[in-house]
Amino acid sequence: MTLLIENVEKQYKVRASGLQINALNGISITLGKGSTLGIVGESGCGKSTLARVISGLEKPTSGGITWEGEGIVDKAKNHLRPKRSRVQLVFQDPYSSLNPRQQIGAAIAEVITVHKLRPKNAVSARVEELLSIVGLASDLQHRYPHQLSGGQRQRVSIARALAAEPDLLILDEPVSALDVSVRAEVMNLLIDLREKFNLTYIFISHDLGMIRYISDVIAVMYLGKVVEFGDWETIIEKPLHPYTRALINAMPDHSVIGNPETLSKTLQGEVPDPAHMPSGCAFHARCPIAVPACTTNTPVLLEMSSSHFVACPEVAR
Amino acid sequence: MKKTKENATKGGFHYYFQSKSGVIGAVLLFLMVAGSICAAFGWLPHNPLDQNVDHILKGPSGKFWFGTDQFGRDIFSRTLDGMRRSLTVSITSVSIAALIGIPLGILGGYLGRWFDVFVTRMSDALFAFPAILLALAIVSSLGTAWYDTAISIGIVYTPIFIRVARGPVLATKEADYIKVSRILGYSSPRILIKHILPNVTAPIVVQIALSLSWAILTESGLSFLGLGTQPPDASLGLMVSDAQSLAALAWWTLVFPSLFITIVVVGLNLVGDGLRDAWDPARRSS
Repeated sequence: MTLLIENVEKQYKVRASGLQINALNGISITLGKGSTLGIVGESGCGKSTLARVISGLEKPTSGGITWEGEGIVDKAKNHLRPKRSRVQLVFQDPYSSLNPRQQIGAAIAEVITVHKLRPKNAVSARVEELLSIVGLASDLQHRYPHQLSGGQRQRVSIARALAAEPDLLILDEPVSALDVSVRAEVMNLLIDLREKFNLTYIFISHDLGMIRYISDVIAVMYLGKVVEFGDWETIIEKPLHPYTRALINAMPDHSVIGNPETLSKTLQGEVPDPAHMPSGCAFHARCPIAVPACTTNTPVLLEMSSSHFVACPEVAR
Repeated sequence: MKKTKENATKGGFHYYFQSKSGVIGAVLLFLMVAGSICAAFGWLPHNPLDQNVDHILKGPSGKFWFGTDQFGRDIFSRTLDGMRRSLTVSITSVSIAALIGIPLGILGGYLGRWFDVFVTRMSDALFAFPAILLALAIVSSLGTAWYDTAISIGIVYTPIFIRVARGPVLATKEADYIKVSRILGYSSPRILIKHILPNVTAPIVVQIALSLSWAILTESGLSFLGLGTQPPDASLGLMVSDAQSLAALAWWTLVFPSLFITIVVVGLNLVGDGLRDAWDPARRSS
């Protein structure tokens, strides 16, 4: 039983200029139940768009997404009939993802009552259970979000997502907005929850360190495309795509800092504008190993081994 | 910790009276409304319409607390009676504007598309006329009864409420917690009522308080132009405009009605502040 993402594209029209923003350009990913997919890439590479599309918040322009053979509910369309989704999303910003006028216990209880997941008299016990699962004291349930710390709020967001009893949890940079001191706690909580509830995760981050910590498989995204995909050991230890290599080189690691050879390999320039996609390989303008063919030929994911795919014919050769 | 739990079980009134401005505003407004009610039941020292040639333009005294006007009428009685009329017109007109404007603005902001275009264009069209001119045009086609004045002011104020309600809805609709609600599978009516409305109420409440005070001033303007309250009836605005030529001669004819307008307007604004503070959990001092 798996998550199947097939050739998903998402384009936005900018009404004022008539330009078309290509946020996702043909994403295909297969993910087994119970494993964690890490998605890494720079700002603007389409990570969050992918999260919104998988969660059903936005409809892909083309392509299909199925979870265990069923289509993901299109929430943009079906908005009169409440339907519990088996896919939930935890947002990055713990300050804007909770309703400021709703006590946190009420926010969690609402999920349970709307979908009638527990009999009425068992709702408050379930709320306390969920709070304790994410490591919060049950007397916090009468607090408003502004009375909590960032880490506590993110735990509330996680508890609220768990209240819907999902199978797949999408974590869109869940710890990026938190203090470094509480990041590790939340990461460990996520790892515990995955085992406890047999959850499948999609963990999105621009931080390879976090991705490595939690993921089984990693997809590296660049400008709406997956450029490299594989087991985390393979990606971290034997990266092939020049973009993946640049990302790993940019990790603040003691062995790398101060080494002029690796520093010079870090990327130059900016990510191209997704309204004006470069021809051929989207990465060619910044690529240290680009050849003339890269400006015309669009690379596809090539199978290096059963668990390693890379979209670069130069390194695959 | 214990305190938070207690506060959570208490109602909004508890928070309202924690704010100083709310308490002062409520007291001022209570006095004004009490005076209006007295006027409505005729519990006044003098009949506000009785002319008395022996007491023309007399200053404040034990018999005439606020003095008398150029016809010897008691200004205290007329002020309270004018207050009653002004409050009636402003509350009715703001109720009309709020009941039409707020739902239209909220639905326009939430639904978007053609409905939003329709609502915003309609309010733009109404906004294009100067307020007093539009009110004049409506009132002259309806008549000069108090409810005609209220209806015309209500129509003029409707687009203000459309805008005040629509803007925050547009902003709140994009917040992450609304996206989460959608992913959690909540229905649109639930998202609108339980998650968007509580977060857009503060500016609307403040707008209601402000509009009530503006409506009193607009009513005075219409009366001044001869289309609102008709003499010999009193309204605060009419009394102020009548007193303009007398102010140098008899200051009390101008000062007392003006003072009452100020007290109502200040009181309404303070109540608006207090309500806003009570509504926002982050502003509550607990």
